[in-house]
Amino acid sequence: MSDHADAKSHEKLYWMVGGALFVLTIATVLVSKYHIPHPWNYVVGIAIAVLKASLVVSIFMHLKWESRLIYYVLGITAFFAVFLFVLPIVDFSWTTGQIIHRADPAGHEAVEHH
Amino acid sequence: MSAHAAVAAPYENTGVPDGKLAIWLFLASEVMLFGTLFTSYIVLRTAAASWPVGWEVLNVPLATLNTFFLIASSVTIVMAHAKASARDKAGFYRFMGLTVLLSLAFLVVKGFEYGHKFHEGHFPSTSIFYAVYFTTTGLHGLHIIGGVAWNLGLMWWAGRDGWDDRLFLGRVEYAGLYWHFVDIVWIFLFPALYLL
Repeated sequence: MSDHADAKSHEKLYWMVGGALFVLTIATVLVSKYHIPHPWNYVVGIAIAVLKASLVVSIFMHLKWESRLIYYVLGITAFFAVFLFVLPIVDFSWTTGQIIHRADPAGHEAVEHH
Repeated sequence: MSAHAAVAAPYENTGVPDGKLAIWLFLASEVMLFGTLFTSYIVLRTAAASWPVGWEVLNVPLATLNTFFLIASSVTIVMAHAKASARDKAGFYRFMGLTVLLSLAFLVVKGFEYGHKFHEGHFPSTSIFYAVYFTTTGLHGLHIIGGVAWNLGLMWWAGRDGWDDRLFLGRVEYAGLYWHFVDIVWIFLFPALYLL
């Protein structure tokens, strides 16, 4: 932890963040139970997950008080992670409509051509 | 390295402790590892003619309970670090012990879930959905086991000469950083597999 963050003084904050994470977990389960129309169910579910992850990274992992070097490391990681996600998905989107597999192998036609 | 250099800057060469930079770099590689799996999940799911609804094929209440276990363990491990910072050895043991117990509870519940799936005849080879489910949750489970070993090791070291070692507090913090990352992976796995 950096000099700016005294672990002792943040104990109350840790418990509050933990409580918020519990509430957000209940919220994400309830939201999925009350079928929100597609694609908003994905948007809400992912938004809650991102909010929870942000709380963990910023408070529990002390990124809020971290030095600039760690931000650089994470920035480079995020930059390449975007490619990791976007390239395969874009590549797939160019072929979608041509090849669709079945998640259920019980269907004998493992690959369908359209 | 000369003796003088070893004393002057033994563990810090970049403005942050070497161990902290190392664990963040390791976590960066872990982001890419799990990122690959999430990308595969998105492509496979989008490509599938149909995809099972998590609520109907998986045990959401048990997974929710496991989410609570992991969130609680994130709180307890950061509290263990706070107690170590305050030189409260009993507090460190209490919270790190709770972290290990919560981690083991997660593994027991996950083992129950796996056992139930196997009993029903669902294996990674059953379908692409179950291949994704077992691969992602299995790799995550291995990370949990690694974290339990790490945290138990810190408790063992604290009981010997580790408590007064200058590296101890840093290692507790790095264990926490790793553990919080494992928690974050689950924060995304839980809705991806069970809810959406």
